Amino acid sequence: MRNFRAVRNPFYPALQLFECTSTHGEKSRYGYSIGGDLRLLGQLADPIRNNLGKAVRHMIPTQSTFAGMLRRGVLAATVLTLVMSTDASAGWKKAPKKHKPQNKPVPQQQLGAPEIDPSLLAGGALLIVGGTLVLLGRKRAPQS
Amino acid sequence: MSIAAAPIRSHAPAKSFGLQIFATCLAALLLTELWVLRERFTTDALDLRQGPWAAIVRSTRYATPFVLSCLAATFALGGRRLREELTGLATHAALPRRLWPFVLANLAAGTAFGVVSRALLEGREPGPALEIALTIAWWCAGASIPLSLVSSVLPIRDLARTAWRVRFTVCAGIAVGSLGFLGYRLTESAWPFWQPLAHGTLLLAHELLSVFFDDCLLDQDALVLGLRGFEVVVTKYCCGYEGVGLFLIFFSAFLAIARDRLRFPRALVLLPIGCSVIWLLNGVRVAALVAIGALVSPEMAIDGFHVYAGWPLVSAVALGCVAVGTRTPYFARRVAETPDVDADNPTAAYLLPLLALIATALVSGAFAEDPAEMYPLRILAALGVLATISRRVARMEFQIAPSALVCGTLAWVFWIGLDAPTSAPWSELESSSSAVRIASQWVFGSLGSFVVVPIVEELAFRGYLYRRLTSANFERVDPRVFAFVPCLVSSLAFGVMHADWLAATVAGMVYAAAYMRRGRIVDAVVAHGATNLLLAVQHAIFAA
Repeated sequence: MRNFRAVRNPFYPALQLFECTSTHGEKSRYGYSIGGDLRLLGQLADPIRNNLGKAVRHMIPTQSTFAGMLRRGVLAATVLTLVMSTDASAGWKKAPKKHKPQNKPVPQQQLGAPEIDPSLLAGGALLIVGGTLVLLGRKRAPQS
Repeated sequence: MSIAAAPIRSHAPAKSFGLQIFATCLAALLLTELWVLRERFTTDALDLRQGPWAAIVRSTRYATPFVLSCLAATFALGGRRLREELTGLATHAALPRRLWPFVLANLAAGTAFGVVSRALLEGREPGPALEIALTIAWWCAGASIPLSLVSSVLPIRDLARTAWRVRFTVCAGIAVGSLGFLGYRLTESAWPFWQPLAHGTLLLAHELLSVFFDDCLLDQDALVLGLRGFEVVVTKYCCGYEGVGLFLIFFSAFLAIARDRLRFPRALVLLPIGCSVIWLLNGVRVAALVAIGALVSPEMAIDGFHVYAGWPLVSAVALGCVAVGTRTPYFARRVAETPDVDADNPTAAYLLPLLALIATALVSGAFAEDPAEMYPLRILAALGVLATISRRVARMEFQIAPSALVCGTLAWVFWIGLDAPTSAPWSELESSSSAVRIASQWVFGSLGSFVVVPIVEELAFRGYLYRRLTSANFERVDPRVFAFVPCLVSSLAFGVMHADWLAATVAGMVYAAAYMRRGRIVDAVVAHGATNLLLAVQHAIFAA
């Protein structure tokens, strides 16, 4: 149970995301690490700290600016909330499987024909025709 | 930028002013009759009836796209020949010696059409024989309405001779136009070949999303793509064939029109390239839509991005192919030089402000939950382009002529007479709107509606299109000489840009009259601004 893979976090790159898969294959979950402050890890529950051991090498150095402190505070609160919301001592929770609908039904949006205002259609057509006319517009011959 | 050569009066043979005015009145009468019939009758009752005759009458719902498709195909196939024939036909036009026979014929045709329509659409279900007779009578009476008006200025014999001379071109145009229309209808209803396109689009979008996200959901059987609780079903309307079809129609017409400028068969390569790029970009669009719905806002994804993002992509690819085709030595016979706005390319100076306004509306609308919130951006974009042609704008001599105000008021009277919808720049504000939103809406709404939009639209439709339809060297056309066809076509083009095309077309004709009176575009701008102001005031009073 030591197969880690760093995943890019599109929301906040400093809050790195890790996907952890067990050697038995039946358990996996996302782990969170704190970008910028290794010390905070010491305050977290042991299972998380241990399992993140390999991945923390990629962390960025501690920041000392006010913005950095503020960011670390937000990150710490986020991570602690995440940790407290899970039962860390019970090990990894089973993550929802990929490509499978979740238990809670998700309303699906039909990407049908959008109700387009006719004037919008005319505007789009005018954009193409007008743009072509501009591109075909000839330079006027210099006047003597 | 002085013009040394003499102004162009018109390509067409000189016609008397009285004849041009008479033809305009006939067109206005025909539009009014069309509006009355459209308001009075509906073909909804035929939905419950079976049989081929009911289907024939029901099909008139699609008359407008069908006729447009056939006209476009006919002019694309034989534009030059048709133009010569129509110009020759116009030389036979003359004011009627006696008007009343034609007025009576028109009234009789209109009455007959009304009576037959009532029997066919609102009466009891007729028997088979009567239904056939009524359907034939309905078509004949309907065709007699415009024919009775046209025959008052053009002899029927000359019309028939011209029609006979261009019969092959017209038949080929109708055949191609019908095929195009049938293709459109088939894709609308039961065309089964969209599924491979949809699967490809889905896979492409999924691969793109998988680069950035690991929890992307894909169900190929149900055509479902999802991300973090936001799931979409890709239907046939979203699998890319509409964009590909639009590009095919547009670029085929471009290849035909600009054939003198292009190297063939090399230029034909651009056709499959453009289609492929559009289809690939549609996959990117679907991926972006899902990402926006999952990360930003489902409303923005469905009501904004889904509705607006397609046009900018198709436009960008189409214009990109035109630019590559006309500006690269590999495809172009003569490589056009890059136009310099305001200095050398007058077409750009007249059209770019409106194109900037439309392009900004389409692009900004894709990234807004409520596209109206992006209105200030459109105005700023148009102002930015107007600034680049400031020298031309500065020459407009902004002085308010009383006649322009009268024309603006007249257009307003027509607008409310035709029961067209009214609005004010601040009409979309809600009581819960923030102070910034209210101020922005008032400032940009008023600036846009009363000043910027009238300038950019009048530059495009009256300043450019009205004169361009008379001569390719449009800046040398004297706008004070009335030309019927350019007036009607430029007004129709202006009309379809608006929610109520009929009222806007009539208003466009009034603005053209304001322009023609002194030959100054500023008069049309003032008239247009006055109409918008009156509509806003009227809306505010009635809303209060």
